Amino acid sequence: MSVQDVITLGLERGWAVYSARPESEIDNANRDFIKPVSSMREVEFDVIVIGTGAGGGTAAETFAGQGLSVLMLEEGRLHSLKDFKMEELWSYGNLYQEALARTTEDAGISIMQGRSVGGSTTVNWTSSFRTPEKTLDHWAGAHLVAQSTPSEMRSFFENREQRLNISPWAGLPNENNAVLQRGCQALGWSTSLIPRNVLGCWNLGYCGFGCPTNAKQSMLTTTIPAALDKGATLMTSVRAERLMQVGDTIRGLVCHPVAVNHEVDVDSEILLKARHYVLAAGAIGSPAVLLRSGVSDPHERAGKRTFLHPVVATIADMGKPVDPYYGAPQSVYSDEFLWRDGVTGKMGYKLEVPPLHPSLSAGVIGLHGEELMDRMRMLPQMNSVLALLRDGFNDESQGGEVFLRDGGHPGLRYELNDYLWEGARDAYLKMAEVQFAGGARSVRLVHLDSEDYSSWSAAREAIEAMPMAAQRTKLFSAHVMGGCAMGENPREAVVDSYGQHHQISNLSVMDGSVFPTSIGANPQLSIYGLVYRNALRLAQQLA
Amino acid sequence: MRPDSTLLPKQSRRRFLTHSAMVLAAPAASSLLVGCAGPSARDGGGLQAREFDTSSPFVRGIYLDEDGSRFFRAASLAVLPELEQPDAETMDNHLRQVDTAFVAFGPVTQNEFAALLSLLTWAPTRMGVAGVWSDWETASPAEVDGFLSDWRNSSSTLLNAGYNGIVKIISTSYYGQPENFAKSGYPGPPAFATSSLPQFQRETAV
Repeated sequence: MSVQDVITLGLERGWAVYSARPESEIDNANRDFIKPVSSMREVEFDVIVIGTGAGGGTAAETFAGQGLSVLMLEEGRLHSLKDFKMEELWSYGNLYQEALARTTEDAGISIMQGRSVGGSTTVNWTSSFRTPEKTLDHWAGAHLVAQSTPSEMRSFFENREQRLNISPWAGLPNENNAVLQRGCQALGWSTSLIPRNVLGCWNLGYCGFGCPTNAKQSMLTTTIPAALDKGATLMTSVRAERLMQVGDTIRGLVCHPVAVNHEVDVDSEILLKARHYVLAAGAIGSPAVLLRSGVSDPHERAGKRTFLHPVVATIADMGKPVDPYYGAPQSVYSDEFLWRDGVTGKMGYKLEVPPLHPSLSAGVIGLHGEELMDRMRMLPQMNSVLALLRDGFNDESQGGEVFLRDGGHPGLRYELNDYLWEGARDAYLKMAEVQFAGGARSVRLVHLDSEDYSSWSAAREAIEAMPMAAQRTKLFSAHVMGGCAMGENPREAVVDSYGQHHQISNLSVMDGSVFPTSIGANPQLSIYGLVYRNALRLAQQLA
Repeated sequence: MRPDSTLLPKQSRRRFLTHSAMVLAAPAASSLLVGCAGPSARDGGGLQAREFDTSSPFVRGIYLDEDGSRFFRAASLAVLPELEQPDAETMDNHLRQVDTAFVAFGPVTQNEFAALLSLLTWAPTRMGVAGVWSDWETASPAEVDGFLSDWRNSSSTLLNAGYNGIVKIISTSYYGQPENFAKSGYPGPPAFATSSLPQFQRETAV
């Protein structure tokens, strides 16, 4: 099968791609085609889209398709197939926010977020679920989200599923996923195959490092090339510093060049203008732009109710080869406990598995000395199960809050409380149970107080007594949502149900930050469907 | 960049000591990092315009100063006892990778870690909070292991966070390096892919 570098080919055709920090491109394989921003003549556009992830990529293609002039801004760099060599450390340093060191303020939760053209879609594990119907219904009832019922959203999800070739994984699950599948079947728990956005997938297992075959239908390989082909402009290595508000409109956007490691060149200013501004910088980045700008926010909603799908995990020694680093990383899930106590009761969770490459595994295991080295030696026969905890549906789950640190860098405060710990403990129990049912020889929690348990009964006894506390219970997140909530009540929401800002006439938010709760599933298709609908409507208004 | 990002002295020390005082009073939320991993030195993520120290032994890097380097040399031996056996070059490469990771983390994590390193490399706090009486150059592996275990088992969230952060940057930097893949039994990317994909061929055809 021939593999084409769609980015290089497009650049050779003359795409309008600029870097705000040309010196950052010195080691970029495509550097010869990326122009310095000083050579950019046009500075006024119909729409400026801030961010190129699931939301920005979808919006940009939609706007360009309606004949609007579009500028896309991205704080990371433009990478392509040439750079995607299945190298774990290179990827963390170049394709992730803060080189994967981003955490909540008290370091209680590690946050994995993408940071390059394509955003998190360049590095996600391809799981593509529609927004659960229960979630959409809850939004309509509890958060006054209009015109977003399951039947109203269906055609938009279908459209995006076709655009991004989303369908349940047709290959065999790798052994890491098969453990979860076997365990669920043995216990009589529901389990299904995960829909993935891939086309001609080689089943390699390196989705998290930038797809090495362009099989992943990320924004980097689909909507962004399409937008650029339709005449859109892309600027990389640039931070949207602040929107300039005059009355109830935005009159301009001040930007700074930013290095790969987030150092901002504050002495250099780039001023850009558009008829309409679209924030799509993710659920930490979008509220941060609003906060840095001081955009009207009479009810102080910007950055509030940020959700993470906090993740707890267990690891198992399967006593035989698993090779958890090879094969489609996520192909099996179980929603057996997603709504275990109803929509608004105790915290429910989705069960999936993570791929295990050596660096990430060492970080997850988190021990030292012989204990660490012994665990790492068993990596080839290791399985891991994770639980995505559904936050934001109960009064005791209000989520976190985005704030600004020195230099305008965003931070996220997220309080860990007993409501969350109850869900974490229940998830630990079910994960250990399913691993033993799937054939595990021993199981341990990703928790400082865990030992290796050699039977389900020993694990159960230990988990029931396990102290639940920040730092001891290791928590992760790959899904940052909320912070610019949508809804028809301006006292509670930043934007309306179509992403239009409640106070500013020419500002919209089109990314996962508009979700009024977490999703209860990997969020990319939720973002694609909603943003596609909202961008179509905005494009028609602007045309 | 160096003076700014190493930031060791007084300001950050005072800041961490404030935190430490909170710990003594009650388990407080920390603001330490639990970082995960860094970039490879392959191309430094656009950072290679700066000069990497390639001499042996590794004395200082772009982020790590002499004191910080001494600490990570000692701590790495306790986190990864196998580092002692092979050769000095392996340790030097490892410390270089740790330094590269710190550069890539960016200002937020760099500042948080500067506070921690300040505490650990100033003798009174090293003895008081880490319980290590010798300096890091002469501390025995058992002493360093004892310090790490104490922080792991402490009831202080702050010290737990320090443990998690130190262990994580050392172990993720080490196991992610191709020369250490064998230590985890990871065979590396599949040969059938590297032998057929264009980006692995000498003349990249697109």
